[in-house]
Amino acid sequence: MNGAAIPRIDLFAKFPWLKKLAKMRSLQFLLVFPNLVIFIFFFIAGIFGSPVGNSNIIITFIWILWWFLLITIMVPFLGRIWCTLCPLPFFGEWMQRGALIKVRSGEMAGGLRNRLYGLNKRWPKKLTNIWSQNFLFLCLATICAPLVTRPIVTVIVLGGLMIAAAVLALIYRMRTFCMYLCPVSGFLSLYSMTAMTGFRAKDLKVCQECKVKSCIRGSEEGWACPWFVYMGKLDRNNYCGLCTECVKSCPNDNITLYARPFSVDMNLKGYDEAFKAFIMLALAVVYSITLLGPWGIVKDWANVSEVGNLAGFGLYALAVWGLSLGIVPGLHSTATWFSRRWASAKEIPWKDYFLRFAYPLVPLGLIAWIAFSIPLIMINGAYILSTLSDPLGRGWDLFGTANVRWSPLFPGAVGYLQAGVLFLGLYFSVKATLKLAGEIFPEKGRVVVGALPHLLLQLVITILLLKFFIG
Amino acid sequence: MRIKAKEILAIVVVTVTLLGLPFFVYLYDQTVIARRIQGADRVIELTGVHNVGVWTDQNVNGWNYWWQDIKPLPPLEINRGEEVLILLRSADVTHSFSIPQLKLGPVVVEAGHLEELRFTADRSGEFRYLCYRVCGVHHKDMKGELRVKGEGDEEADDLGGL
Amino acid sequence: MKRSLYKAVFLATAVVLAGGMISPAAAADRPVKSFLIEARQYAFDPPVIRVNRGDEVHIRLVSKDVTHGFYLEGHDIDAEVIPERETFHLKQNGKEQEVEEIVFVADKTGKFRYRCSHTCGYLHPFMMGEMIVSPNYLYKGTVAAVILLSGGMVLGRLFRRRKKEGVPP
Repeated sequence: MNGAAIPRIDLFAKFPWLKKLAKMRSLQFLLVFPNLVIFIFFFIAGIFGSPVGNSNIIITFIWILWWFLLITIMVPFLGRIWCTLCPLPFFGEWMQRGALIKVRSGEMAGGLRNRLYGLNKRWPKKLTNIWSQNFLFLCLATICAPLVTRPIVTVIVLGGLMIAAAVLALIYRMRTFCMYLCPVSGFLSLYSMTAMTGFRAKDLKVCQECKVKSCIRGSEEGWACPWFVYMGKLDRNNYCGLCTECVKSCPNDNITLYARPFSVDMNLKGYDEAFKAFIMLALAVVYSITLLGPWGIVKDWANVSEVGNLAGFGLYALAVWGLSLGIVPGLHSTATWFSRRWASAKEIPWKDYFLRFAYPLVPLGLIAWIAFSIPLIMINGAYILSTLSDPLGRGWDLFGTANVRWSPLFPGAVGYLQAGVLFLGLYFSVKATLKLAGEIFPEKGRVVVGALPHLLLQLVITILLLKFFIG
Repeated sequence: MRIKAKEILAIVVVTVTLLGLPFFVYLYDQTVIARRIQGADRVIELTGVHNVGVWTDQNVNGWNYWWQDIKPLPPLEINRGEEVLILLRSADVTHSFSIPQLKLGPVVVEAGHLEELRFTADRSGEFRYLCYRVCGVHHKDMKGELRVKGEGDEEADDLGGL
Repeated sequence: MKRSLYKAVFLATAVVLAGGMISPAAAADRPVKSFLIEARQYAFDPPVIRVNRGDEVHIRLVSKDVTHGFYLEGHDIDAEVIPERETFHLKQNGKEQEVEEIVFVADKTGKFRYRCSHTCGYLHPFMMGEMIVSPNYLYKGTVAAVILLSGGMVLGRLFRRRKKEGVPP
């Protein structure tokens, strides 16, 4: 819970220009549209440009540059800021709202104070969780080798997501695609819990007494929250897409952007979220072994579209799904079982206990991904420069850097950075485990004994990652 | 600016940009090629493809690389005395283009780069062009025929050794 | 909790630095290790080579299919390997020449990856192998550090004295 116990700074109070920016009606358009133009350009490059990944801007700018910025800077500092900028829902939202900047107000079913086109159906109740996103992300991970090396695969996947977003926007309410289907949204929702900023209501009493609830219902000043959030109850970053509509529509000026320490939202609310944590951690290991490892046989298996080894690909796929849905959850379950036993916590239901202690894998997983992304940018970053000048690999030279020879950036520093980052990762996961144990056990002895199996698991995972990266 | 005006401006900007973008990219690409072509009488664009072992004149890009049926070329025909520019690309790995009988090349062609071979054929006849850098199992198949047609030599050829 | 963090970092740094200060063996008794590394789409064979600090390392490079590169991190070595050739093109310490093998002294410890530096197909950016120079102080030091860190944090929690009664942890 983000109550008074957690130190936080009201950024809108500290930086009034920030608040002015958030209240601008045209903010989202000014951020998203240039991004969309770049996106469409990438599609053109992917279709009409060189088939070789490192000579094509769609591969280098998305899977090297964007990925690095997202996981290392955007998520830990600004949470779901990518969702503010994301071009995927642009066309869908345009059709649904019938507007790019202005608000269309009126009365609609469900107490909404905006007028939206489309069927505005509710997403099926059974699917109002992130299991679909878990599934889709695992599908993408299974084809990760062709996805991050062949331009056309990226075009098909991202183009498909854009089309799905548009279609869903015409059938279902608001950002149903983003909430329940988008694979990127899946892991952004989980990792944004650790982020050092987030929108919250300043005074919850004001929300309780508010008669209009413009944040979730919309008003003349702003669209109803596309993420179905009622600010009076928002206590974690997970499903707030930072779109700033609530900041614009709140009649009591009660919404602000808070800065707070790393890794403070610790409340996992369902098995779908816990499994997202397991999947992301497992995939950090799988991607590291496949893409950054020395073992050609694994790359051959993953590279099914070129090598064609179906049996090997089957093994690889089994490893992806088995590790994510079987082994890592199994390890966590084992640790939970011992922890619950040693701390004599039989009165606490299994589910609550399981979910509580699954959280520390969130900062650990995020930092494992950061450790994976460091060599990605420092070693393969030179391709960013060459494709900047020759985006399609057709002999252009826009900025004079087309013939920059590949050379890594301070490769000697990579190991030290990874070591430092993983050290921090363990620090945060141990800190979270001890805090979470301390919330349910008053006795210090029980806290330590209950935390111990989880701490051991986190330590083993960290050492394994260290062995892989720098050992 | 009033909100309605902003809205209309936004719609105009979106439409113009999205419709214009493919055209701009195409036009720019053409100017890049045009700058390279300057002065040449004849331009041939060749792309090396290693998994079938072919120099092709088809456009090989991200979309068609994986499904297009790429066949070896029929003999290329140029005239003696004209300035020929061969633009060389690689669709995948490093190739090298060479016409050893005319002492041309080898020009190393790396993926994602555009190389050129500019020459004037000073004698007529039939020559071989080939790939001079081992590029996979089909490397030895990467060759083709270049026919240089000369003025005045045609009659001699037809009459055959008069 | 913060004190254990500092302790762990200090100890780890000490281990890593101490390892760095041990001087390498004299040239006369330097062991020689030779390797033949074959490059193919998209891996090196052997994928991992192990040497000790101070060894004189000889590496011969061969390509089995297309043109590859060989860039050894942390050492000024970049080579281009063309198939069906006895020699390869090497850039080392500012000099470029055609050689039959690369020779250098492994004076730095740790894990150094060798990567393909010449576009060779789709998975080119992920084509790499590892050279591990023992003793690996960075790895050992960091493992020691993380063990000390977690131990320290647990002990810190166990022996923590609260300033006020009833204050939530």
